[in-house]
Amino acid sequence: MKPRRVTILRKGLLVLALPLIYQALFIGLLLKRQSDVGEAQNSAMHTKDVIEKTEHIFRLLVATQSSLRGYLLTGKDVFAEEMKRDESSLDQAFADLKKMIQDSPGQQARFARVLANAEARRDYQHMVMGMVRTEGIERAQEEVKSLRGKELMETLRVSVENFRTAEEKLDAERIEHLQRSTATQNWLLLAGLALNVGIGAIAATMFSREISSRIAIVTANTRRITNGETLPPLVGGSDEVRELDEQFHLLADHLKSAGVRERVYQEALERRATELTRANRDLEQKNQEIEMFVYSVSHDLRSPLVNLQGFSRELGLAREDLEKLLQNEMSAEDRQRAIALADSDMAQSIHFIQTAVKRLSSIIDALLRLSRAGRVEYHPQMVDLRPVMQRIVEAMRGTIVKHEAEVIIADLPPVWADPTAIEQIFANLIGNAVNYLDPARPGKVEIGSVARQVEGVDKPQTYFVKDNGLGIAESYLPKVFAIFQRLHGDVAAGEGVGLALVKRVVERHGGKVWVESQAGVGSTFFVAFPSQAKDSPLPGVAPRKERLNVTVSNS
Amino acid sequence: MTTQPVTIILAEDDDGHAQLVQRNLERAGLLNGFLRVRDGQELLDCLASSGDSHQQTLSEALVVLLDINMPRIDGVEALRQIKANTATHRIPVIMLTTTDDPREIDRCYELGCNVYITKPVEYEGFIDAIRRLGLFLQIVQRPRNGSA
Repeated sequence: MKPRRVTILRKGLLVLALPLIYQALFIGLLLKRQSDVGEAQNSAMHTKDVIEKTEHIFRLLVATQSSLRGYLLTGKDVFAEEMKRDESSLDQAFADLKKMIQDSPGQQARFARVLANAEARRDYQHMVMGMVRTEGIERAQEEVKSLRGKELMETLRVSVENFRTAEEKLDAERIEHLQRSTATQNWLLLAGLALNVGIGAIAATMFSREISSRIAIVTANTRRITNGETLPPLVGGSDEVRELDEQFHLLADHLKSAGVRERVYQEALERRATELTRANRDLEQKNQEIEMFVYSVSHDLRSPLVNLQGFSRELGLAREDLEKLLQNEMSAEDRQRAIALADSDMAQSIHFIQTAVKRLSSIIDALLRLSRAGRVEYHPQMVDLRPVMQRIVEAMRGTIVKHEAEVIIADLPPVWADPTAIEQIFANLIGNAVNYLDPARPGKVEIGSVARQVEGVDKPQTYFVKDNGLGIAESYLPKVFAIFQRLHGDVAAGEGVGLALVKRVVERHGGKVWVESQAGVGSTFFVAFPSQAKDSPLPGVAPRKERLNVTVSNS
Repeated sequence: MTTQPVTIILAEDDDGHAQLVQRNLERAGLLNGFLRVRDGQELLDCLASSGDSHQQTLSEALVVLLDINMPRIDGVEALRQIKANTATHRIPVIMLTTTDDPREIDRCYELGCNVYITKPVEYEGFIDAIRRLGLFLQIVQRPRNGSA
């Protein structure tokens, strides 16, 4: 069974019950005193009545004595009659008194003695009266002179006096008893009051300690919860205050864990927001690139179309002229003009139309190449760059010789990339470096690696292709990687796709490409690839220590 | 009308386009002074040299036909330099290009080009524009020539 808990209600009832007990005691004492006082008054009245009755009896006794004396002196019957009347009154008075002292055995005994003495005296008086009638007054007077009657009367008087004294003493005793009990009650009341005050003080202290101080702790705990502080151990006891504190502790724990969860969510949210912002920026940049791309493509498609339209119109005009010439009889002069039309005008028009068609075709080819660079599936692996560089330089040997260039390839760390793609990238960069060398000075192309921090590329592996060629004007730098943009269009053949392709391929590898250049001094193209996700290079591909120098001079 | 003393300089890297412009000018009889350059740099060099040695041939009346998309210095940059230079900023410039991008057009007008024509052109309209511009030039520039 569950142990009974001392609830606040029970404690409160206890505190309330103590004064109630005192009040009940107080009321009881008051009632007792009231009844005692009433009783005392009754008994005082009773004593008074008894004493009065006793005196009344004594007076009647004296009256009978007087009547007897009158009868003895005069012999007249008036006195005899009066005596008879008084005696009957006496009988009545004695009966009354007997009734009044029923509850007091001591007085009853004394009363019996009084009664006996009274009867003895009455018998004597009746005997004296009889003597008067039978033996004459003188004889009776003689008898009285014997003082027998006086003796009897004295005995009676003493017994009555005893009775009366006893009654008065009894009354005094009753009054004394009442006074004693009243004093005791007063003491009891005072003691009870003191006890009540004491109990009240104890109850107040207990209540304060038990309830108020603990409620204060719980209140402080709620403040701590609001301020996010740690709660002290639970308050003692097993009542509602304890229960409340337990609930607050649970609430605090709940809030704490909710806070932790919220922080976790908050952090995740912030991370997500940062990612989104970056993705958004990337998308915006991509979008701009696409707009630029579409702009360039439409422009470059339109350029040959202008030629197609213009020269087909020219052809039409030439045809009209030719027709006019052929309609008439042909003079030698007309003949010359017709030949000129066909030879120069029409031939030129056809030439430009063919060039435009070729240009359109090559643009479309370039677009397809670029599109393929975006679609082709890559198979990244650790690529040793040494054989790659050798193949590229070998394929370009003719151009290198033509430009009298020196190509220096430093020791290159392997790269995690698709082998075909990496060859494509470096072939384009090295090709550009060689093609746009400055004919005014000996060409020099360097390929190497460099340690650089690159934003957006994780642990970048960075390579560079550096030349001392024509360089790129600052105003043109932003357009370098855009499609169909050609700075030195007259220097080398091309569609303006190479660097756009390089950018596409590098970015698909998660890398970055950028250029630092100065017009008339040279350019350096940088390519940064992210390191392989797993840090283990492929077996058999260790970084080479020796330096690879390919120097091609005019032989 | 057919013998206006206006020299036309065409800056155009595409041989076909240059040929078409030249043929149409010839057909309209506007070809007494015609010079073709291949990019912006060449145009600026040509204008700079006209200030001294070629003054006789080029200072009469000049119209520049300017393509935008050219290697080295492009048409917009060439336009900016022509209009920024007090020696050349009076020369009327006709932008002649395949681009109809409104931002590009706005930029050219901001830089001070006089006419902007989008290729492929209806050559009748093109010739008309040049002819009117040439006429206008004669009227405006005559007092200056007279005082010189």
